[in-house]
Amino acid sequence: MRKLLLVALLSAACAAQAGNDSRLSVRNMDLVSSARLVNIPVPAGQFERKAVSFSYALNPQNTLSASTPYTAESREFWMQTDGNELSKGLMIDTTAPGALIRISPAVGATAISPGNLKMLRNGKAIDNAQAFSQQANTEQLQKAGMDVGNGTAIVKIADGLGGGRFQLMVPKASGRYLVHVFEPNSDVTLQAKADRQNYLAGDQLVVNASLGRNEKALPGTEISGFLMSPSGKTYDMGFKYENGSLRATSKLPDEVVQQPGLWEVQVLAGASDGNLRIQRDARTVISIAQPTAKLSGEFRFDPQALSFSMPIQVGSQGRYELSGTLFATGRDGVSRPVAQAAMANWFKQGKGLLNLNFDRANLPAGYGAPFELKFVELKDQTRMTQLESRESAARVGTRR
Amino acid sequence: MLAWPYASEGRAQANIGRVPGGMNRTRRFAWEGVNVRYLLVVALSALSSLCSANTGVAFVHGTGNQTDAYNAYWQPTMVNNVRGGLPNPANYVVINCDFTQYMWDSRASGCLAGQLSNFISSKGITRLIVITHSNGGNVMRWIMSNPTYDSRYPNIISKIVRVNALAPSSAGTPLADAVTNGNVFETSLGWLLGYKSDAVKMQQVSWMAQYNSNNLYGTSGRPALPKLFRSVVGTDVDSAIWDSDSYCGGYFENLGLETTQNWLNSCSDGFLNCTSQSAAGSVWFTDKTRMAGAEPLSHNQSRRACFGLDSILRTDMSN
Repeated sequence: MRKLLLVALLSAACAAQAGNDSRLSVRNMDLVSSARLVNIPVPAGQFERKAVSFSYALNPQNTLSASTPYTAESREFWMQTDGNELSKGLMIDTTAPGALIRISPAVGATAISPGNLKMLRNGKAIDNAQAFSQQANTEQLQKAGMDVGNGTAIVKIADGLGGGRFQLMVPKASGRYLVHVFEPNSDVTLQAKADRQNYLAGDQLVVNASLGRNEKALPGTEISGFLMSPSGKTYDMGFKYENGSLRATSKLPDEVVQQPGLWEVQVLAGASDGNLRIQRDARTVISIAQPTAKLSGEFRFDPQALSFSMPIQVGSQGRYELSGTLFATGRDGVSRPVAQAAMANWFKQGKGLLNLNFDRANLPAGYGAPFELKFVELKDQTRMTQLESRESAARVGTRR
Repeated sequence: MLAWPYASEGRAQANIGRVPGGMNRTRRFAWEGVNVRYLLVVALSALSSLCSANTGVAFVHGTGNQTDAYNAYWQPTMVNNVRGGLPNPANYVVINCDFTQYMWDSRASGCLAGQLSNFISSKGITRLIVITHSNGGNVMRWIMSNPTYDSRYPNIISKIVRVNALAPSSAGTPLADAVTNGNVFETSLGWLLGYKSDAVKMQQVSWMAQYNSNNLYGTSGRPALPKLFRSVVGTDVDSAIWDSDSYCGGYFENLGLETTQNWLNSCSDGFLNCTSQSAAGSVWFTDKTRMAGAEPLSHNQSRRACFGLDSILRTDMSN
């Protein structure tokens, strides 16, 4: 009887929400599609066509938080060279003891064996046993799970030699090579960070980068960069000093990419330290979505079923998923995550509807209204992109 | 009612200790008596359902296109020792899929879903324990995080009781970053340094950070996975030539691992940082706390019958 009364009261409390469309809240860092929708083909691949819904309980004691962009930190750089330069001695400047050098041959170039490498300093050869504390060939690296190309070798400069300028010589090298220098012990790092994780085509991308020693910026730093799409197409990014830090601001391209994968932000930095050249390369990734669908911005809440319905507008045929987290209020008045729900379906161009059915059975004892719908995301499952997000989408119901 | 997907033990304990406020001591004991009787009934019921359940185990390999993972990836000793702990040791499947692809690809998670669904239906599996190694944990986590992506996923998730993820690459590995940057040069200069699979690209640290934040559950700040995902973490590599322990899983492989460990933190299994292995779900145990002789498990050893790992997994089959 008491249970029935509780349900009745709950229903009454939520009546203001039930049956009426409400607007989703929007916060500053939300991904909101206000642009026109595009009609692009379905990419190659096998995709589910049936509607699928799923929900499950969450432990209210587990804290959820909004995602933050990844900060790339690099102690490495890359160089291109050829057999001519390597046979004379390739100059490599390091900033700390124990640098690792990997040489990878391009197609047609002579394979590298660690035993064929020679290290020089100030023009004088150093015996290999003293020059390198570790050596590994292609077979050893591949068996260890490092998927290097054939003919690749890695050597580690012995700690006792310290840092500074070295010449790496490969007497019988021919063809083109890629040299990768990694300095795990260096205090010189390049940091790069995009301002978001997910963008829509045409949005503005801001990347901040800093080359520093022990986090103190190195004077005279020059930074360049580019954006590389999953198809391999590159777009230059210009870095400028803004308020004391190096920043690139770019309008994202409208390129429609058929290949899955993320877009890479490549940042290349250089500075001088006396006669030595300091180099670092860093990269981070972002997702750029074509606006293939969007939320209408409205929702309808069914308090009995703990269900949210959201209309969507579809520009491109495909499979779209809506997901979100339900927060409920505990006896102590604190709102905590209690359930996760998602629904996906195949839609043609036009209007559609997706529901988040949280299921009352997933509601822990002692938890109830007011409810909050958080971390709502609309995804294009056929193109693996995020189209919309709302960190705090809605608050419904009143405290019982 | 007992099957709290997020933490069955934690939830049950919370119920045991709950005593309504304002009760006098006598009534409180009465309540405790009810709870004890209730718990006994529930425990017997759970035991009964466990006895009547049909438990199976699936072995899910890591990066690579496997056609004979039983022999080539896990090796018979590992598989047979572990499945021997099942009430019916015939209830096992060794997955063979193309995990050189992105985790969501039909040749990766689609293939895995197909083989798991066939196993569940053909053997009548009601409780599924999944053992993954390395990137296999990511493919399994894709299925558990994206139940709407494929209509086969919900049934698989409903049968899973737990995933024992051996050295999962949940937060990627700097080694994937190291080998993949060559692709930039290939693209911009037309070089060909060797094709890097989508799975390797995906396991770069920055890529996994993006996928963990947007496409996968179970990492810090994200919703928990619908079923228990617990990892076994390898913390070191032992490759001393005079130590016979170095030879378990293949000495030559361990020698290479010690070189690649330069790209990693002091706590790693030679391929993955401990932080990556423990980034998703919960840590079941770290190698030295449970392995015979407190030996570490290198990345190759964590898929082999080394230092009693197979015995621990075998014992787990009966729970």
